[in-house]
Amino acid sequence: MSKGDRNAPPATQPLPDEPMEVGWDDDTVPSIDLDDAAFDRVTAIPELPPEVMAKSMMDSNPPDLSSGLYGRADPASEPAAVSSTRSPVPFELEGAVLPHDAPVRAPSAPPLSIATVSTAPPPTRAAGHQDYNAQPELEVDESVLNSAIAARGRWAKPEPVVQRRGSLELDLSGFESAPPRPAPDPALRALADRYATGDYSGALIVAEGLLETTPDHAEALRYAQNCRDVLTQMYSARLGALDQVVGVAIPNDQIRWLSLDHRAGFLLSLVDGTSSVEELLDISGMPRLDALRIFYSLLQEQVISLTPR
Amino acid sequence: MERVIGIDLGTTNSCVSLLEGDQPVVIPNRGGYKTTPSVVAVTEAGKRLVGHIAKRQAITNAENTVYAAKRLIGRKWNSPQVKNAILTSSYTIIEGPHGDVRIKLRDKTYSVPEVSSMVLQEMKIIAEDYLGEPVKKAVVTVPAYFNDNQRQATKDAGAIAGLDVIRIINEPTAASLAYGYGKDFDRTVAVYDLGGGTFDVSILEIGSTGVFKVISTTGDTFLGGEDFDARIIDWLVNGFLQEHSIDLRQDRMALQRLRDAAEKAKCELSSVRETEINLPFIISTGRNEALHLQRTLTRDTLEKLTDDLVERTVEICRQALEDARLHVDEIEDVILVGGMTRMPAVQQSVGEFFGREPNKSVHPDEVVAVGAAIQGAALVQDRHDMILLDVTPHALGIMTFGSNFEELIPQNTTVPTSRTKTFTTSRDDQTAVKILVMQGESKRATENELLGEFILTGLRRAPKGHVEIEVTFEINTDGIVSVHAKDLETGQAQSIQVTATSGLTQDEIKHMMSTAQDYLVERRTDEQFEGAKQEAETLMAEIERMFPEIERVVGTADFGRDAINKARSTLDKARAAISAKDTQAVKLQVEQLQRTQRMFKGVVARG
Repeated sequence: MSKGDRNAPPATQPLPDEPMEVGWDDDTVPSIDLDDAAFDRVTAIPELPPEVMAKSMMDSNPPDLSSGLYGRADPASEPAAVSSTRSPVPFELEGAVLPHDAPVRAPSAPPLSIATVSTAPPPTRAAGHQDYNAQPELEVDESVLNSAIAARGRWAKPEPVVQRRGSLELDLSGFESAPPRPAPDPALRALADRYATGDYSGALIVAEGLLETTPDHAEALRYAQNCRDVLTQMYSARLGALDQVVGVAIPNDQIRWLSLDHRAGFLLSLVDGTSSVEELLDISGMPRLDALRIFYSLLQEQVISLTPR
Repeated sequence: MERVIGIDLGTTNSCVSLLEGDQPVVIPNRGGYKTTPSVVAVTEAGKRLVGHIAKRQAITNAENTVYAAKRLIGRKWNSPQVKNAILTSSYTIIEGPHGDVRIKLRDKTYSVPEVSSMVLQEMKIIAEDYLGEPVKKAVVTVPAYFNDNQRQATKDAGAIAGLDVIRIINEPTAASLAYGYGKDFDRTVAVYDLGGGTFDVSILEIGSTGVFKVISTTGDTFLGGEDFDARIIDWLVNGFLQEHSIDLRQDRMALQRLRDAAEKAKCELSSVRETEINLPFIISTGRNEALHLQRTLTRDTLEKLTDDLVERTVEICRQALEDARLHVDEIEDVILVGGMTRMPAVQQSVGEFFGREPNKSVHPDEVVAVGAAIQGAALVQDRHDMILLDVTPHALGIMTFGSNFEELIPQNTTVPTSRTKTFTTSRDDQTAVKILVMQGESKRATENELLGEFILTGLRRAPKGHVEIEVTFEINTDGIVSVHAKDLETGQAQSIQVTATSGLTQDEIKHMMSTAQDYLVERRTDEQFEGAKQEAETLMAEIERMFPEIERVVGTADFGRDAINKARSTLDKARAAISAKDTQAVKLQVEQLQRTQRMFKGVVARG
C-alpha cells in the first residue's frame, strides 16, 4: 500500500524485488483520527503470515461439504450403511445377466454414495489461532508465529507487532512469499474418484499401478485392500453359495474353441464335478478375487454350472 | 466287539481297512477312492488340506505342501536322509529342539509325527464315517527297514491322531499275511513293493505257526511311481518346447496340470495301448493368446521312457536274493504290492526275473492295509493262530575294539528274548569300559544306529584280556531293550534301559493330541453345520417357490396373510441362523421350515 492511499486494498505480500512499505506515518495520512472507534479493528496488513491467516479463516468458516467438488471418499473412514435397495451395479457388471436362480444379495460393504461420503478432514486449527473477525489482541501470539515459522523453515522470526498509540510499525524484512501448495497427485485423485463412484475394479487397477511404483504407498494400499474386499464379496454374492458343486457344462472337445487364458484354463482343469466352489478356490493357487472373477465369467459364458450339494 | 482298523501309512498314498466278520473290507474315502494321498497342505487362508485336495495344489502351493513325510519320520536332524530331503523338498525343513526334524508351514512349525498324524486322522475319519461309530485302535504298517525310533515316531503319530496303535508291523509282513489269509502253508516268498515314492523288495519265510520271518529287505527310498510320472512330464515338456519354444516347467499352473495328466495317462496305459493327453489353454503367450497341448502317448513310448527304472528294480531284487543267500528258484511265490505293479512292463520284468508269474490274487493298492486289518482283528479276538510273533526288526549288539559291531540278538528274533555274551578288556590296566548299544546289520559299528551308552567302572587292573565282562541284552514284550554289564570277578555292574524316541517329549505329544482333538471337533461341528444349512436352504428354496401360489390361493384372506407373514418371518430367522453359523439355531429353524413346507403343500394341494 502506498503512503497516503488509505483507500487502496490491503497490501499483499510484496514481491521480493519491490521495495517494501515499512511504516505508516501519521504525518503521511493527515486528518485521520486514530482515536476514532472505526479504527479499532486491524485493517490492511494482517498480523499473521498469510497462510496462517488463511488457515484460520478456513477453520472459522469450513467449506460446504455437500458440494460435489469435495465429494471424495476417505477410505480410512467407515463406509455408510446403505439399504439393500440401493446397492448399485458396479461398472464391470453393468448389463451382466445374472443366473436366473442366483439370489441377489447386497454386499455387506456397499459402495459409498456421494451424499454420505465424508470429505478430507479440515485442516487442523493451529494452536492459539485467532478469529479474524474478533477483536484482535494487542500482542501477537508467539506460538502461532513460531508454528508458522517452523512449518516454513526459512522464515526469519519477525519482531512482534507492537502497536503504539498513533503508530503501527511492522518489520516485514524476514518474510517471504509462501510457496504454493503442491497439486494433488492426479493418480490418487483418479483413484479416489473411481472409488467414490463405485468403480472398484477401476480403482483397484489404479491402486495397483500406484503400488508398482511406490510399494509402500499407504493410501493406495488401503484403497486396494478395500476394493478387493468389496469385489470379493460382490463376486461371491453373484456366484451364490460357495458350497455348490462345480461342473463343466460343455463337451470337452468344445473347450479349446473358447476364448480363455491359461488361468481360466487352469481353473477349468480343476473342475471334476465333485468339488465345490470353495474347495476349488482353496486349490486355485491364485488370489481369491482373481479366481472368483474367472469362475463368474465362466458361469456367465455357461462353460460351468453350479449345482447345490 | 471293539473295532481295530488296519492302516497302510504309505509314502505317497495311505489306505485303511477292517475286518467285517471274516472278510476284509477296504474303506473308500468321501471321493470314492480306496487310497488317499499322504499329502498335507496349509492354504493362504490357513485352512488345512489333507489327501486328494492337498495333492491337487501340491505344485501351485509347493512351499506349504508336505509330501513323503515318511522319509523324515523318526530321523535325526543330522542324518544323511534328512540332509538330502532338505535339498530336494519344496517345503522348509528345520531343526527341532531335540535334534529332531520340524517342518515349517506358513507361520507354524510342525513335528514330522504331527504331520503324519494328520494323514492318520484322515484315515480315522474315513473309517468312522463308514462305521458310524468312533474308532480308537489301529494296527499301522511301516517299512521293514524302519528302526525303533522310526517305529516309535509312527506310534506317536497315531497317538496324536487319537489312535491307540496296538501294533506296528512290517509292510511286507502285512502283505504276506493278506496273501496267506485263510491258507495254511509254509512258504518262502518275495514281496515286490513298488509304490508311489519308494521301492522295497523283501524275502520272507511264512510259517503256519504265525512266524513271518523277514530274511532280507532292501530297496530304494527314491524310486517309485512319481519317477515314472516325471519321465512323461519331461516328454511332454520337451515336445512343447520344440514346438513353441516355451518351457512349461517355468509355470506352476502348467506344471500342476502336467503332473496330474501324466499320472492319469500312466494309469490308463496299464489297460489300453494308447491314450490322449489334452490340456487346453496350458499357457498364455505374450501376445494375448493361449496355447494348447495335445499329444498321444502309447504304451510302447512309456515303456521306452521308463525301462531303466524297471531295470533298476530288478537289480535290487537280485541284491535281495544275495542278502538272503537264496537262489531265485527257492522263491515259491512273488507278491506284488503298490499301484505301479499294475504296469504290464513291471509285471513282465518281475515274472522274467523270478521265473514265475507274480501272484495277482491280492489287490496291490490294498494288500498291506488288509494285512494290518487281519492282524488287528486277531489281536482283539485273541486268535493266536493268526497273530504275528513280534520280532526285532534289526540286530542288536555293542561296539567293540576297532569300531566293530558284535551282534548279541540277531535280526528277526522273536520277542521277548534275552542273550548273554562275555567280553574282555582291550588295554592293559583298563579300569573302565564304555558299552555302546547299537542296532543294525553292518559289521562296522559306525554304520549302525546308536541306541544308548553307559560306562562300567571299577574294573581290576590287569593285563588286557584278563578281565571278563558279561553283557546281557533283554527285550521284553513291549520292545524295551535293557542292557546289563557285569564284571564277573568283582560283581561290579551297570545297566541301561533303551527306549525308542521319536524326538518328541510326552508333554509335546499331549499338547499335539489336544490340538488334533480340537481340530477334529471343529471339523465335525462344521460338517454338522453344513448339513443343517443345506437342509435349511433346500426347504427355504422350496417355500420361496410356493409363495406365488400361496398368495393366489389364500393371500386375500386375513388368516392367509397371517400365514404368509409367519412363513416370511421363519425364512428370515433361518437366514439369520445361517449367517450366524449357529448349528443349533439352524436345526431349530429346519423344524419350523418343515412345518411351513407341509402347510404350504397342503394349501397348494387344496387350491
